[in-house]
Amino acid sequence: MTDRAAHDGDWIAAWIARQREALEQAARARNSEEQAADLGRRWGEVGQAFLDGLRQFAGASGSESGAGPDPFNIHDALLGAWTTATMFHSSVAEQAAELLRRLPPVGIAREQAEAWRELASAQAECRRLEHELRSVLTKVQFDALDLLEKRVRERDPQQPIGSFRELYDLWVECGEQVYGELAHSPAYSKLQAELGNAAMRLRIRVQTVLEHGLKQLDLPTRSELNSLHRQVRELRLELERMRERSDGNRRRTPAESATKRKATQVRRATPRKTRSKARAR
Amino acid sequence: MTKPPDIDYDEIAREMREFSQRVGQGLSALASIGDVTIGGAPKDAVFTLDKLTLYRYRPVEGVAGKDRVRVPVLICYALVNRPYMMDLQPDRSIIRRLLDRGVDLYLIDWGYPDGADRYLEVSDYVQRYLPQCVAAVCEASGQPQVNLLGVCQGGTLSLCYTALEPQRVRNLITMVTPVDFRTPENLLTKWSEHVDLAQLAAATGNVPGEMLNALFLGLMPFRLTSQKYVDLMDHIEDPRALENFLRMEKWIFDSPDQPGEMFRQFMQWFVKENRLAEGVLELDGRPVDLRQIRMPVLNIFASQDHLVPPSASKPLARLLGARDYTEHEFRGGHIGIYVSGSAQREIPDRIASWLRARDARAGGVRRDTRRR
Repeated sequence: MTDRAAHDGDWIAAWIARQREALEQAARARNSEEQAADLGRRWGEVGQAFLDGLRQFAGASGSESGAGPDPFNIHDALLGAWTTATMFHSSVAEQAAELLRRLPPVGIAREQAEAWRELASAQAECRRLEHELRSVLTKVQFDALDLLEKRVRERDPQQPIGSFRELYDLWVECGEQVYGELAHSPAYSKLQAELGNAAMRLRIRVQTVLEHGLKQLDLPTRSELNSLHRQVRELRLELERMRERSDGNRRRTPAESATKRKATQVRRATPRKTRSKARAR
Repeated sequence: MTKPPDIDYDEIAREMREFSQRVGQGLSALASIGDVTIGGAPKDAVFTLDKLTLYRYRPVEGVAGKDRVRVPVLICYALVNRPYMMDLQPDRSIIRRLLDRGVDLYLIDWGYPDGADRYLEVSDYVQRYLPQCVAAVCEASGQPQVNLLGVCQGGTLSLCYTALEPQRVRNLITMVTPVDFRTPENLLTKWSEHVDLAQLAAATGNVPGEMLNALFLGLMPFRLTSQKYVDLMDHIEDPRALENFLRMEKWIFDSPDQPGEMFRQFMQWFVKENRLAEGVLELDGRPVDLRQIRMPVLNIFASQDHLVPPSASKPLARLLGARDYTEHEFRGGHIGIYVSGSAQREIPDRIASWLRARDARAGGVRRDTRRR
């Protein structure tokens, strides 16, 4: 080991400590938006951990790659843009939701007010569950680091970790092990499903409110389109049943069977659209 | 924590510099590689219906008549991803290897469903689309039956069809096909347990492919969202490896939306309630009884499959009425079974020889009405 390494101490312990500290910092964030943004960034760094480590050691070793613009910063920049946008909208939405929750739905706009209240309530539920899931996923990262530390401790001293890549691969293995145990647990399945259900409920509430607006302007809505799709499907199935019945009847005479064979040949490699024309001929 | 005894910081710094250089080279290589080509085994559309297209692959010249499999094989792929996984590139193509072995191949491409397909049901696939494709293959080949090869979810649909119309299927092959969805290893089943499927279908219409992709990545997030991209750096200087990687990325994320009602029924009946394995599935009032499947069956599964674990496929053995039942365990995963080197050597050989043996035993209809 070089003098520099002896001076810096245990690089693996330093890396683990740094990751843990960052996670703790994120968990202590002042409010939920800040926490969400920071945790989101942390979670994003799961994918960048190796690069992050390289950056850290590049800086520590004073090598050229540690100087100048950070080549791996694209991810943070992108994520930052999203989280900033989310923070703005979520705080406005939260205030509006709180206001709506306190307003009793009465009078001529009662129905719309109720739709908005339901939307606000769905949004609040969604955010609560999102926060809960984030906390669980953060714990996965903490536990993964604990397990990594344990594995390094238990490692055969004759076979030390010789490269950062090896440490990264071991970290991935630990992460998957910790996550795998959680993912198979009933509690996690339930939480994930609850968040999914809440998100879908919110989506439906948004659709309801939007559709009301569209109707005011006499513009088509998804519900109307769905209704049409359903009718078209029923008509098509009915048409197919009629064709089958008709084909069954026609099979009774040889001459008509020959006609059917001809029609079938046309059907081959022919889109359904043109089949009715072929039949007409 | 004990300190590793032989850490050389200069060595680590060198490792980092090299990695940084590779990242730089990789970005240049990625920028210059352009679009990747997929598949390419020549094929012709022989039948279309709604969004589906039935293709016939052009037979390979030079395969002796005695080496050909007489009864055509119809591949029924899953709805979840695109079927070109079977013919990803010339040297990773189960399709090409089967053609080389004299198999007459047809494939159903389900296409990309849109809003007009949101009310399609399981019965549309099993009792409308599949029968019409089988009829089209029979007509094109001059054979009264087909060999049906169902892949993944397409295998589950093929089992349903075969149970309902056994007289149309000479031999059945299932590949990485889930049958029993309630096994301890089946993570997707656990995750779906509390999902309100009716609400999901109502809110999304067609269930977005992106949503399913996120779910699949969530099965192994550290490996699938991080490690595989770091590993890519090991091959970044190899344009061929890079192209292979990009081709695979395209396939993974080229996920059609799932028709909402079909998805709801499949998840509710097959996954949550396990009706097929329990023997209580009905489609349009007709019971789907796997014991009606009495023709020869070859069941291929992958030992390290994290999406369809072997425990989900192997129960087929006890559910069928077939006496001639063969299992083939491939040592690999759900993707490797199509594209790995060992799969290219092993799987087509197994399928073709298994079919040929049964072709000889039963004797196909000796009418060569194949169209070029």
